[in-house]
Parts: sequence; structure tokens; C-alpha cells
Amino acid sequence: MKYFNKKGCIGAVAVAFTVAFSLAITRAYATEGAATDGKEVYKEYCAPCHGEEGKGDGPVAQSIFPKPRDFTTGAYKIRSTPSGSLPTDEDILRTLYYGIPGTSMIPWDVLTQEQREALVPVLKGFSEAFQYRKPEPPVEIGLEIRATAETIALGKKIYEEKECWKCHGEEGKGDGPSASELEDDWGNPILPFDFTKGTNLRGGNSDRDVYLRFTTGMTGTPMPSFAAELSNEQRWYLVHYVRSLMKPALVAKGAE
Amino acid sequence: MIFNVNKNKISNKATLLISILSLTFTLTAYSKADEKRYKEIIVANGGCITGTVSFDGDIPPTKLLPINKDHEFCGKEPRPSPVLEIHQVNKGIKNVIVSIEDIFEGKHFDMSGIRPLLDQQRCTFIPHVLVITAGTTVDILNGDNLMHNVHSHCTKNSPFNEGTTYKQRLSKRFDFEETVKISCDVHKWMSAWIVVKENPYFALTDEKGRFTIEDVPPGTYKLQAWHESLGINTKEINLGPNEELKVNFSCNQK
Ligand code: HEC
Ligand code: HEC
Repeated sequence: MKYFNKKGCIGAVAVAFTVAFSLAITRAYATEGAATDGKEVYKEYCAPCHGEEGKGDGPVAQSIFPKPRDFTTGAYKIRSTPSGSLPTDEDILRTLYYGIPGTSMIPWDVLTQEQREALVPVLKGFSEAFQYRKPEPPVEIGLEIRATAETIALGKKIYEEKECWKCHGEEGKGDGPSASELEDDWGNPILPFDFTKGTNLRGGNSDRDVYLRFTTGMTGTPMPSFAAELSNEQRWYLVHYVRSLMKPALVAKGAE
Repeated sequence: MIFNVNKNKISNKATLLISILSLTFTLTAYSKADEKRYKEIIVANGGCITGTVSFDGDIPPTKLLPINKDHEFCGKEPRPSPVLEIHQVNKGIKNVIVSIEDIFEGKHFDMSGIRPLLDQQRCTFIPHVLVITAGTTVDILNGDNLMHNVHSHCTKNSPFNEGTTYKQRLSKRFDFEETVKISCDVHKWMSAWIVVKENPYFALTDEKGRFTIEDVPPGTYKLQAWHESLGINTKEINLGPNEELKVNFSCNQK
């Protein structure tokens, strides 16, 4: 490996040093003002829903649907990593910044970037999964293809062949034959996304976000990964088709 | 390597300190993954544990699973649930895993060349229960001409959920001791278990509830019988050199 020649060694040490140094700074800072201590921030802003121990059982949780995430299993829906993998820190930070539309998980842009960063190890600390496994590298998003009437038609065919309709319905209304029986990993009922309702996608509205959701799957839910089933081109066709189901006005409004 | 890097003595010390710090950090960070508790030895005077797991009480009527979709591929008739299979004659219970939980030294085992199969045929997982040792890769096949999604429920091992077409093969490695449920979200009635063990002292009961565990070093152990719906029963056993020990479990619905 290139990085481990002599010069690289200095580099590695330097990196280690910077990390240790910045850690030391955060520590010092944290003891001064409680606001950047991840545990304190969690207790104040997150525990009411996600519970003191991250079990998703805070006092507010009962009256909420979908339920606040139970962090103890390490199951994260919104990831850039393959099915079965843990999320990267960036994935978690992304969710904290944008929230999860259509749920009570609001964007936590009221917190500072430092506060959100301090929350990441707290969330990971709730699950033993992070002690056993490391996140895998993010899946590759291949060269984007422009949407045309033809790519949409090709996408429709894939939607039929790969049986997205079993859950999402033939017209994408979220009313397929399996829709009414679906449960998440915690035994709560869960609905497949209704594409005709527009662009309140949990994991974000961009084409890349849609591409990622059916490529990585949404761990903890019935929404599977189709990574082994679809080539890069096919994934874009499917994005185009699924988009075409969303009402144009809503797409325009929700587009980034 | 570290010492070659810097000519300056002070920073030498500093880098050393930091390297030690970061080293301890990496070590503690993934200690769980590296933990191996079982040691292989040559077993002399090994004994054998055999017996039956049977149902205590009247045999409950077999549950039927309704097949509510994809009739052309899955069949129409409701099918007997694989969850609790009791032999009509001797009341033996199938698919119980009998295992020694607290054994840290024992026979050699190597499953690296073995790739157990979990197949899907007419919208049923075959077999219903699979027991493997940690580090084994399982090939999951789809033998049905429709889509299935294979959804694993676990924490230490990877909780995957993947759509698969006809003849598709998923190869999944299970590295940690854990009881993993497998389901298909499209076909609610489908279920299977992949049970991952740290040591090779386990057996899966046959349709008469019988099991045999061989080459066990003499000693006192906790013997466990696990069943997906009847739960866990344990017994303390004492095995002498070259002994063939008979142990029977009797379980009922709690
Ligand atoms: C008002 C309740 C509420 C509060 C407060 C709240 N959340 Fe959430 N959170 C939710 C709900 C509900 C979900 C699940 C949404 C879903 O499953 O679609 C969720 C999901 C998540 C997820 C899972 C993301 C994924 O990929 O699966 C993370 C991470 C998260 N919250 C972090 C936080 C943090 C950190 C805070 C505190 C700053 C916080 N939440 C505060 C309700 C809340
Ligand atoms: C077994 C049922 C099932 C199948 C099959 C399925 N989905 Fe889903 N899908 C779901 C569920 C359930 C959700 C909602 C998850 C949630 O709200 O957390 C979902 C959500 C989605 C979303 C929304 C993601 C977001 O950010 O909110 C997209 C896009 C999607 N599915 C695409 C597809 C495509 C494309 C296919 C076929 C290749 C497919 N799904 C097949 C169950 C399924």
C-alpha cells in the first residue's frame, strides 16, 4: 500500500496526532460548556422520544407513529452503505441535519455542527453492533443517465419484473397485495411509500437519494435492497419511472 | 518503524505516546470482534451425549399457514406450520438445537469448506432451522420463479434484506454467535432460523426428537435445548471418560 512508505508513516502519525489533539480540545471544551457534551445534548433534545438508553421508549414515544428509532439494534434506514452494513458517521449526520420528512424526526439544524457531531458517538454507543462490525464503504452511484420517455418505460418494466408493485402497488399508491401485512423489525405496522403522494421521501428527494434507497435497502423495514439485481443503468431507469409516478407539481416543489 | 521517522527526540516521544494511545484505542474498539473463546485440542476419552427431546402433554393440533398470494408458484392449500413439529408416535420434537454452552476446549472443527444451503422452494425456506459455527458462509437460493426478499433479523451479524429473483444466490457469512431469524416480507408465512454457535458441540433433533453430540471431553457442563417457540431448557450434566450419557428433555408450551 502506498500510504505505508516512510513518508506515509509520518503522514499517518500526523493524522493520529491531529485526531488526538482535536479530541483533547473537544474534551476540554465539553467540560467548560455542557452544550457540546453529546450525552447532555442527547438527554435534552433526543431522550424525550428515543429514551434515556436509546431504546426508542421516551415519554413522548407512545403517541408517535412511526415510532422513534430504537438505537440498540443498530438498524439505520437511511444509509449510503450496502444492505446489512452499519451507517457511516456521515450518514447519521445527514439524518440529523435534514431530519426524516413525514415523521416527527425534525431536522436538527437548531443544534450546532459540533453538537450534532458529539451526538454520533452517543447514538453508536447504544448498540453493541458497532462493537462487532464496522460500516462498509458506501455503494457506488454510477454515471447518471438523463430521463427520457424511453428510460421511464424501461423503468416501468423493471418495476414490474422486480415486483416493486407487490408492496408499492401497480400504480405506485403503496397499496400492493403485501402492503397491509408489513411490519418493521420492532413489530410495528409500516406502509410502503405512496409515490403518487409526492416527494416526502424519508431519505431525501434527490434522484441520488431515490437511487440509494432501493440500492441499500432500508434496514429495519421490509424495504429490501436490489443491489444484486440491478445494473447502474437499470437503477437510473427505475429512478426515472418512480419519479414519473410522483405528481409533477409536487416533484417541482420538492426538488432540491 | 516509528523510530525511523523523526530525528527529533522530543517529537519521537510524542509520536510514540500517540501511537500507543491510538493502538490501545483500536484494540479496545474492536475487541469484541476478535474475541475467540473456544480452543481446539485433541480429545482423549471423549464421551457422547444422546437422547430425545419430547413434548410434555397432549399434542396440540398442527397450525395451518394460509397461503394468501402467488398461488401459481406457492400452491393454494394451507400448509402445516414448520414452527412446532411433534412426532405423532413418540412425541419427539423436530428442529430443537441441543448444545453445550459452557465448553471452551474440545474437538477440532473446520467448516470453511462447507457451504450450507438455505433454499426457497414453493415459498418455503428449506431447511427451517440451520445450525452453523461462527465464520460459516451460507448460500441462500431462490428456487421459485418469482421474487422473494430475504430479511435477516440480528444485531451482531449483518441485518440484510435483499430482493432476489429466480435462481439468484446470496452468499452470507455469519461471524458471531447469535440466533438469527430469517423472513420474507412479501410472503408472510415464510420463516427460517440460522443459529450461529461458537463451538461445535451442538446437534439438531430429527423428526423423532433425537440428537447425538460426540467427542465431548469428560466434565461437567450446561446442556441446553433451544426451540423457537418452546424456548430454552437447560440441564447440568456430568460426563465421564468414554461414557455414553443419555439425556432426555421434555418441554411444553409455557
Ligand atoms: C419528536 C420525537 C423525536 C425527537 C425529539 C428526536 N427524534 Fe430521532 N426519530 C424520531 C422518529 C419518529 C424516528 C423514526 C422515523 C422513521 O422510522 O421513519 C427517528 C429516527 C431517528 C434516527 C434514525 C435514522 C435512520 O437512518 O434510521 C436517528 C439517527 C435519530 N432519530 C436521531 C435523533 C437525535 C440525535 C435526536 C436528538 C437531537 C432525535 N433523533 C430526536 C423521532 C424523534
Ligand atoms: C416487501 C415490500 C417492498 C418491496 C418489494 C419494495 N418496497 Fe420500497 N418500500 C417498502 C416500505 C415498507 C417502504 C417504507 C419504508 C419506511 O417508511 O421506512 C418503502 C419505501 C420505498 C421508497 C421510499 C424511500 C424513502 O426515502 O422514503 C422507495 C423509493 C422505494 N421503496 C422503492 C422501491 C422500489 C424501486 C422497489 C422495487 C425494486 C421497492 N421499493 C420494493 C416496501 C417494499
